[in-house]
This record gives sequence, C-alpha cells and structure tokens, in this order.
Amino acid sequence: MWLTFVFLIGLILLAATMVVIDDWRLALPLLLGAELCRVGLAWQATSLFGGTAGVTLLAVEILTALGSAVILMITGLTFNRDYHSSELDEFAQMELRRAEREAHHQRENVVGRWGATVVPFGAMVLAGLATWLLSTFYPVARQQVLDAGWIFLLLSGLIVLIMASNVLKLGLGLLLLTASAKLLYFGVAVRLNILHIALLEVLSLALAVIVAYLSGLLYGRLRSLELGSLFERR
Amino acid sequence: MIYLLLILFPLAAAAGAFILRRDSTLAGWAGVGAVTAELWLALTAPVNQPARLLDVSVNYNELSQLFLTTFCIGGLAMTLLAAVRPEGEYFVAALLLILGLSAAILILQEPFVVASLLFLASLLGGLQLVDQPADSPVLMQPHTIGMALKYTLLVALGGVLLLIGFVLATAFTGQLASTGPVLTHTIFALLLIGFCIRVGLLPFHLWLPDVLDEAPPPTIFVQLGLLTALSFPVLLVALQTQPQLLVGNSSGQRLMLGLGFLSALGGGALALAAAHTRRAIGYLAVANMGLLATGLAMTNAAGVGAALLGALSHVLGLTLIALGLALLEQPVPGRREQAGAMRERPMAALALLLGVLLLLGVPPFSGFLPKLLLFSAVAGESGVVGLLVGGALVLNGVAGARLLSQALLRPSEAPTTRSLFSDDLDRLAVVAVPYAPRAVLVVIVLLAILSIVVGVWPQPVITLIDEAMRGLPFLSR
Repeated sequence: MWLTFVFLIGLILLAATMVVIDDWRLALPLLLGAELCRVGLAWQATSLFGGTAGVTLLAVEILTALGSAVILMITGLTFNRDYHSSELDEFAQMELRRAEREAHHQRENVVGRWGATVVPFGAMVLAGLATWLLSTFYPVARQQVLDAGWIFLLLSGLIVLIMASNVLKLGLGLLLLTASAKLLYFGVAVRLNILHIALLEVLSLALAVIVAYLSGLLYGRLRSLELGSLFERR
Repeated sequence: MIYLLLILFPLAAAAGAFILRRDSTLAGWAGVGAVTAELWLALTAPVNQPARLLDVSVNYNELSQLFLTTFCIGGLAMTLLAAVRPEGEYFVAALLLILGLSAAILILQEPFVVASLLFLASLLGGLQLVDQPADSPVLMQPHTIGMALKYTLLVALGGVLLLIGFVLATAFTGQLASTGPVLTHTIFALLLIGFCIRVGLLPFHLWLPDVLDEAPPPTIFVQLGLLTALSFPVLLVALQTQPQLLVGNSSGQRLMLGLGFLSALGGGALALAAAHTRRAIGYLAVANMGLLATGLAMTNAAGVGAALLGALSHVLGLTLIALGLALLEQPVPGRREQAGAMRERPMAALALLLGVLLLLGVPPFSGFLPKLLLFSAVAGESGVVGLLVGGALVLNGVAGARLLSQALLRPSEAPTTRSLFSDDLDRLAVVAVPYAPRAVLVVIVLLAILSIVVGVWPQPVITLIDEAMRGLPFLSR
C-alpha cells in the first residue's frame, strides 16, 4: 500500500514541477518520470497487471512512456538552435556574441524573480485542491488514489497547454492529457482488453510523432520552437 | 473475414500510396483503384453478421454500409482530383488511412474503440493540413504551421474529452440509472463537448476559420465532410450502449438543442457576413451540422433519421464543393476569363452550385429529404423549436444565395493568367484551354445524377436507414 502512495506522490510532484518549470530540457525527463509513476500507480492499485499478461502490459506501458518521451527529447535536441562558431564569419560571430550578452542580461533579470513562478505554482495548488475534492466527493475509479492520479494529470495537462510557450511544452501537455485518460481507463476497467490498450498506446505515440513533425516544420521555417515566433513574423 | 478486409485493405493500400508518394499522379491513380475496390467491397459485403474480434463486437449493418459507401464515393472523387492535379505528397496515403479507420469505426461498434479511432483519424487529418502541394502559396508559411498546431491542439483536447467520456460510459454501462444524475450529466457533457469540437459547432469552432483559409479543397472535404460526418455514428454508438445519457436527461437534450440552434443560426449569420467564398462555405457547413445535431437531440425517429440522412447528404455536398472549389481556384495558363465562373468554368460552377444546394436542402436534390424530416420531427416539439428551425433554414438560404452569386456570377477580378505569347493570343479567337480533365467532369456529372436520383427516389436509402434505426434503444417514437 505504501508503494501506491509513493507512486501517487511522485506523480503529483513531477507533474507539478513540469508545470512550473519552463525549460523543456528539464520538463521532458520529468514527463518520463511522471509516466513511470503513472504506470507504477496503475500496477499497484489495479488487478490488471497480474500474471504473464500483466507483465507484458507493464512492459508495453513502460516502453510507450519511454518511446514518447524519447521522441520529444530527440525532437528538442535536433531542432535546437545550435551554432558552430567555426562555420560563422566575423559578422555572424559578432551578432552571436551580442545576442548572447542580451540573453545573459535577460536571464539575470528573470532568474531569482519569483513572480514568474507564482501563477503556475498557484495554479498547481488549486489543481491539488480540486483533485482532493473531486476524488473525495465524486469517486469514479475503484480506488481514490487512482481518481486523484487521473484528475491531477488532467488538470496539470490543461494548465501546461494554457501556459505553453513552445511546441514541445504543447506536446507535453497533450501527452499528460492522454496519460490521464489511460490512468482513468486502468482505474475503471475490470479486465484486460488488448485492442483498448493498443489503441491507447498508439495514440500516445502518434501524438508524440505529430508534435515532432510539426516542430520540425516550425523549426525549418522559423529556426525556433517558440510559439511566439509564429505571430512575430506575420 | 470480409469485415476485416474492409478495414485492412485501405490501410495496406495506404502503405502502397506512401511508397509511391514521389509520383503524385501514380499515387493518385493507385488511390483511385484502391478506393474503387473498397467501394465494391462496401457494397457487396454481407450485412448484419455479428462476430467477435479481440474481445470486441464486430458488425457491419445497414448504417455502416451507407456511411462507408458515401465516404468511398467522396474519397474516390478526391483521389481522382489528386491524380490529375498536384496535391500534397502524403495526401492519398493519409486519405486511405482515414478511410480504413472510418471503416473500423463503422464496423467495430464499441464506444471506447470508436472514440480512439476517431481521435487517431482526426490527428492524421491534421497532418494533411500541412501537406500542401509544391506550388501552393501557403506551403510552409508560419500561419499554415500555426493553423495545424491549433487544429492538433483542439482536436486532441476534444479527443481526450471523448475518450474520458467513453471510458466512463463503458465502465458504468447499465448502472447510470442508479448512480444519480451527476455522473450522467458529466459523461454527456464530456461527450457533447468532444463531439462539438470535432464537428466544429459554435462556439467550439476555433480551428475552423484557419483551416478554411489555408487548406486545399480535398483536405477541406476530409475535415468538413468525412471526419465531421463520421462523428455522428461515433455519438450513436455511445447512445446505443448508454441510452440513459440522452433519454430522461432533459437538461442534456436542451443543451444539445441549444448548441445545435446556436450553430445553425450563428453559422448562417457568419456565412452571410463572410467576405470570402471559402469561409462562407465553411460556415454554411457548420450551420448544416447544427441543424443535424438538433435532429439528433430530439431523439424521435424523424429527427434521428434527418441527422443520419443529412450527414450522408452533407458528405456528398462537400465532395461536390471540394471538386468545384478545386477547379475554380486552379489557375490555367493561357486561359482568358472575364465573365463570372458560371460562364467561364460551367462544370466547376455546377459542382459548387449543387454542393451548396445539397447543404441548403433545396429540392429535388438529396439534401431536401433530411430537412423535410427535420420539420416532421419538430411537429412534436414546441412552436419555438419549429420557429428556430424555419429561421435557420431561411437564414442559411439567404447566405447560400449570396455566396453563389458572389462566387459564380461576379466577374473575375484577378488578372487573367496569360502565356508568354499572350499578345498573339489576344489577336486570335478565344482559345478554349480546358480548365479540368474530362475524368473529373464525368465524376461531377455522376455525382449530380446521384444527388438527383436519391432526392427524387429516396425509398431505398430510407429503407436502409429505417432498418438501422430499429436497433437504436434511445428513440422515442
């Protein structure tokens, strides 16, 4: 039983940190962590994971979680603005140094300014409260921990979508929403259905691939994954 | 098993089209062949032979046959268009995949499965939005990518809501009556919002205007015709397994009616105000979908019949509109055009005209019967409902008339596309450079004949719909 709570607390902490942190380099490993906690929670709190079929299901779930996180991670690393100074001429290097100085200056202004994290932090506190109230008064799944898990993932996903500033964070929010639907499914399903599980896993991977494809197009056109760049150059 | 073949054949053909993607003409003709074969399978497959597959019930009933046949007819026209004019590299492959998923939705009649498949098909449709032909002016433009992102985000949100709604509906099958109204209302609201986002009903139509502005006509058919109409059988599956979601849920019924009327009236008003042909067409389609949603919300045989027949007619209308738009918008070098489209490109104009008339429900075309059934369904409701249906039809009619006069009668303002020898050509008599391949013109004529035949002699279709509706437990007769 204690392991169930460990997974639930891990899930909540990782999903909440994902909302608060804006950098995708940190958010993507957190997504993988949250997905693994979700799988662990479903494994502990439901009876679907028993026997040989259950072990296979566990393996499939972990592989899908790993697959979708790796797809987004590769996308982020591939479509990241990376300049090789040896390939740039003097003017471009000068421009790059100027941009670095500006970015450093801006970072100094932002780092340590807690105001930037107040809204996401507050949103997560409210999401936690809503999760507790909904899972207590409107139970749907067989156990309250599963209800708490899927409701918190759903709310976190929605908040990430609202606050996303780049395409990868958008993909992350969509994957959190799908993870929420998966946890709800495990919470209410009475027996294992291969087609259902396969469709859920395919949906997660398809979402990750589509976000990667759109990221590639955006980066190919604007050299950036920031959503703001879509509106700047119109 | 032939049902499995109906699902897997287009998926396998999609793999073939993907391999041929570099040669768009070849991929297009391969697509025409594959969709023709699928159409033949759809027409000849035996109906009502239920079976179990992977623990899921499988059946191909009259309704599945009607929908799949109509989708194949639309798909055939679009693949033909892709064979004779440049489309995106992956268009044919994606269309075949969507057709395969549509067949799966119509055959695997289980709520959770159909919701997941609709979600997947919608995501694939999103890829088509950025898959533009090489000569497209919007290819790889930031706003095109933004449009695809917005669509993916909204459709995924709608898909997740549908998934959650269907998971809950499946989990509480047969228990909703005892769990109280809160759960019933919540599930119905989740399903309704997911459905509205997918169909583009007001006020959940945020993805629609951008798609209308940027997408090529065949993609507009997939988004506004095929995937939109496919949402109706998906919702029917939910109501079939959980009739309590709508029966006895008067607030849910009122909500659905309200959203339907909002779309029917709002769509008509927006179409009337729209400055561009594409937007006006899109809003008319939304208005039509709103009217069909009201038919479904009434839960009587006439209303549901109107919704199902209307959805089929909607697909046929959007097929004609996509063909018309594609031929009207395509520049033809060497062709001198000053008069309106009706004179310069009569067959393209005819396709657009017929498509719009089908959406409006003008007799004697196949769009008329659903509207007639809608009035028959209204007879049992209050006078306000009848007034709203009548008002929406009049508003849509005015908007449609304005759209047609703008698109077909107004002289072309764009400069005439001329060849290098345009000066010489000016001195010559008018050179009739064809604006469309003969095969496409033949398809337009066949579709026109089909819409008239179904409109004048609808009995076979009505019999099939009637047979299919016998199995719907939520109907109040």
